[in-house]
Amino acid sequence: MKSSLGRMSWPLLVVLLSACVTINIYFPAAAAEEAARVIVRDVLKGAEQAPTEQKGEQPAPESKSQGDDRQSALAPPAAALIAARLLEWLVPEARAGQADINIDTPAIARLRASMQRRQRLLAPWYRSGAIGFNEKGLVQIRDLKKVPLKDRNRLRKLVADENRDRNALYREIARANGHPEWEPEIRATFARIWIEEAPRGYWYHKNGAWHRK
Amino acid sequence: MLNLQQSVLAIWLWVTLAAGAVWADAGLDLNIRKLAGDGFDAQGLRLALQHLGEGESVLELAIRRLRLGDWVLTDLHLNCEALQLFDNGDHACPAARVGGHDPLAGGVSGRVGWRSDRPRWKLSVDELRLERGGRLKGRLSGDAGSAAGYLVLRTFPVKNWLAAIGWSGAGQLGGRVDLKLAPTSQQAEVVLDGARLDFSDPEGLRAGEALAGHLAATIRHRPGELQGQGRLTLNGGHLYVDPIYLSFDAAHPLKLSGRVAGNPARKSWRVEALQLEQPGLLSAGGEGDFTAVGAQSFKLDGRTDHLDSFYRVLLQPWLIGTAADDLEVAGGARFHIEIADGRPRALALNLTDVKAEDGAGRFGVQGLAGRLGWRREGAAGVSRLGWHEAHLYRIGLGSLALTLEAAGNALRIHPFELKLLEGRLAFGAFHLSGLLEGALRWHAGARLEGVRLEALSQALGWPPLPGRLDADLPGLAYADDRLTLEGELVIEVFGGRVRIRHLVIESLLGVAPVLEADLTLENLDLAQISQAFSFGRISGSLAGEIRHLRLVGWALAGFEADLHSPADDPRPHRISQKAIDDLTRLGNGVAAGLSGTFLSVFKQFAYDRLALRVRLQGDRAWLDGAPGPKGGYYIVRGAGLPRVDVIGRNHEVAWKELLGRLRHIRFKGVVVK
Repeated sequence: MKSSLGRMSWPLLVVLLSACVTINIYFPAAAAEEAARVIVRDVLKGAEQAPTEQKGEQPAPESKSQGDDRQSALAPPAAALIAARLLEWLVPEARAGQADINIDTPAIARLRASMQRRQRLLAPWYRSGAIGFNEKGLVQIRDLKKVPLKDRNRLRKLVADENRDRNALYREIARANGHPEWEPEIRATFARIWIEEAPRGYWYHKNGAWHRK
Repeated sequence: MLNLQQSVLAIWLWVTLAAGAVWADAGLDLNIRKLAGDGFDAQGLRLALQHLGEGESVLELAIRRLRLGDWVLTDLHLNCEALQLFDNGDHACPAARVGGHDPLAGGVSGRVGWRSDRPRWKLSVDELRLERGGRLKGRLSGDAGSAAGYLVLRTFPVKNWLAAIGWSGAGQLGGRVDLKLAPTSQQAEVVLDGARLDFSDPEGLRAGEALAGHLAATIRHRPGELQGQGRLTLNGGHLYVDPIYLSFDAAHPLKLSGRVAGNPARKSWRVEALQLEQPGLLSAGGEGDFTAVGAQSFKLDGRTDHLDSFYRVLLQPWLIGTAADDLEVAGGARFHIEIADGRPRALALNLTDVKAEDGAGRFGVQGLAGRLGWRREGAAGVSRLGWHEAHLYRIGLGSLALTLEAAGNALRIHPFELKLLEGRLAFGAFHLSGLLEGALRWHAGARLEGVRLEALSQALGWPPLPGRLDADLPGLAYADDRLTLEGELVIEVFGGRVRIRHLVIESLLGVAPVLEADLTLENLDLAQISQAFSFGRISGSLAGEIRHLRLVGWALAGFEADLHSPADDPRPHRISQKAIDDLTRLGNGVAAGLSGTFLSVFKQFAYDRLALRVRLQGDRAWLDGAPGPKGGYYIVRGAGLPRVDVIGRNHEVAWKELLGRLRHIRFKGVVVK
């Protein structure tokens, strides 16, 4: 009986020992989107007297797609796939664990407050079409001619300050969650949410062209 | 220009000679496919002369295409219904219709008249209407060798003319051109006036609003040479030339004057006596040589006694996005700029009693004065710069006197020191590079001596810390907006040492500076610490590490602290009731309440070991201590009798909750935020 068990264990043991374990680090896309929406709504509130009336239709949140997930994988050889699948089957919770995105840190609070205060000054230029959102999650000057000459440099400084805060915000969210490497995904999530949450009439740059909500 | 002028005269003479030669009874009808000369050619030329009797004829002249130098006119025609031809060869036309097409002005039509009284002649431009708008009127008279006269320009609509180059605009220009023409020299005196002029390029990078101004210029042309001098005054409106914005009014007009001489064929120009002045902003003078590709050499010397507006108008736009884009500035400055081959060659700046204060209060300087010089090549001159006082955040920096040399890509500051927190910070060698690349980086070695921690803690709003800071800083470096400390910073404090390693400050003057460091605590005297913080009363030593300390915006963002009593601690281990209460509150959220028990008769207790591990990540903190019973952990492991242990049970706590517990512990004069 014992030798029979030993013979049966060998193939499994070989597979397990030769396996290269795949470690999947999933970017919590849904949680990031929720966090981004909270921050974006909060910041934009600073610009609007009556934000609920001026906001455009809320687009349905996009469903989480696997394409959003980051896979940091040690590419498994074919033989290891079986072991990896087996391990995944044995310990599914190790893979399925989806961390929340934490946005409750002093640094993030400070950046949010700074951005919210600035929205009141930026809002007229969003509405006039002088500036808009871009695909990098930043603010971009769209048409300087919409701005009186005396205000052009003031607007350029506002845009530079806003972008400095936004860059710091994306970096801090990634770091506060222990994954500095998530910054590009967080930035991309925010870029999409800024546009989705932008009030009607705001401009955004996408696919090489400006569009108006 | 010479060719153009010669061409005009040549055609004129050719027409007059032709007319004079055929004043006979018979008519004349000449068709010439092409006529070419020096600097001009005419194609599809037709001249028809029909005699009407009694000395009057009809002249018709048409040129399908006329090139004068680079200027090409098409569909030119002249029609004189009453050409008078005299016996002596003179001729006159009181009113001739003329027309044609100019690439810039569009269609041109109008009336001219002339009369020859050989060798003299007169030409009157009674009216020329331009399709793009505007009218010309004038007189010209002369002989075969010279001419003089004027042209009056009226109601030139800026909008139509700028549309030709894709710009937008509004308003009207008017003016007058006085001409003196001779075979070897020509002169034009131009006066132009404009009011409420608007213009903008398609991107809005060059634009004017409600501009009012006056231009007076004289242009002289000789073979191979063109000279000009002029004065432009803008006394109203606004001008934006990305990124500079200027505003003008009667009290603050911009005046620009100078002389230009050059060779149009070689496209090389020399500018002399250039003067630029706006009251309340600056005055500057310069000279230079220019070609089609830019400035070959250029020098500009200027001064301002209004550094506030100089900074706001001319400097701040270039500094947007940097830490210096929101300053309140006062003082005066003189500057010298040299350009060679399109690149800066030398710069010099003399500052007088300059005050600068960051709008966010991050830094400021007063009494900044001295001379700063830089040369691209060759030996750098010695510069001297100093200030009376300055501050970085709330840390005051004493007076400073710098001697430095700047050349090429680098700047070297001679050893210097500044007063800092009642001690001094002495720099040995300070090397800065990246001047030409725009990405500054520097490294330096320094020594801190006698810095009083009490002054530092007071400046930072911390509880007063005893001790002093003496440290060798062998490698301070700055690059890519990161300030790093090589080696370690050793602080003598609380009877022991705190060693700081891996210190990095990112974006020091940014909106959210990031500080990262690892700290090692050695043999700190808990009696001194507890006295400083009113944290009960504890005697003994404290050792440990705070790794991965991270402050963002000077607020705690993460750390891993492991603090404990060192092994073989020679100091006695005693802890007071209040300290027990405070530590208990820190671990569990509520005080132990020893004062309500029989233990209240004991004011202090012996302990074996203190231990506290705290890890902060995001909004959560994890607490731990020495291994304790039933999954708990000792924060204080008591000793002797009566024995009091403080055992933590909760390992995870919200950071806000932990801060709340700290707030309940009354530190001496400190509010925990």
